[in-house]
Amino acid sequence: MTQQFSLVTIQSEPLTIGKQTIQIESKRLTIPFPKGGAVFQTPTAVYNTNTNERLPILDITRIATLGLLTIGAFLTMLFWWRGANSQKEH
Amino acid sequence: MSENNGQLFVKTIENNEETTELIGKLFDVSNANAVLSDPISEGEYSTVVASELMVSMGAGFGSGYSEVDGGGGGGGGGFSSARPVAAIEIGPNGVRVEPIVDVTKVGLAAIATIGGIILAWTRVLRIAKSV
Repeated sequence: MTQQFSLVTIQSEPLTIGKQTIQIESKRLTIPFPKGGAVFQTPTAVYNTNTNERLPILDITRIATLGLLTIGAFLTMLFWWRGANSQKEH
Repeated sequence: MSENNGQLFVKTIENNEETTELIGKLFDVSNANAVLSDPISEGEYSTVVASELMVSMGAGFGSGYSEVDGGGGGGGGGFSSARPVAAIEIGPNGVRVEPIVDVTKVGLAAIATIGGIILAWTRVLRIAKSV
């Protein structure tokens, strides 16, 4: 198997519907293992080739999930730190 | 998208080379067009769904020999998932991107976050009371 660890930006083939032609830009992460592997691919933008416009695709679910988990981890660490400090003071 | 999507399949693999070949196909699954669905049209408007893909697979083989008997075995497994990220609306006025929000996933993350914060806060209160 010749696959290597990679993070690349790829574009789909042009898709024409009516008078509009679009292309999807996506990011692909490839993680090869000795006898296996994993591939993660997510769309990042849409190109309207008629107007040369690039419309970004926002993954709101991922942004919200990561944001909540970051806030949670930060506040938890803050509380633990405050707890440890109050123990030292007394 | 492949017509085999959503189907359970069982494949017997005879040797290591076939394993390597099967794993190689894993990387072919996620080509540039894999994130796009077929267009759904209604009048002058069409919608295409862009999805996030995750595919993973692994396999292993082992064998042993002795003067009396020998044997070998192996196993493998994998998973794949797809989650819609945005609906792309194509009409006479142009192209529009509508994000798709997975409320269940965000809700579960919110519950986990609030639970973690409550646990940490309870610990701080318990320590404050004990000193």
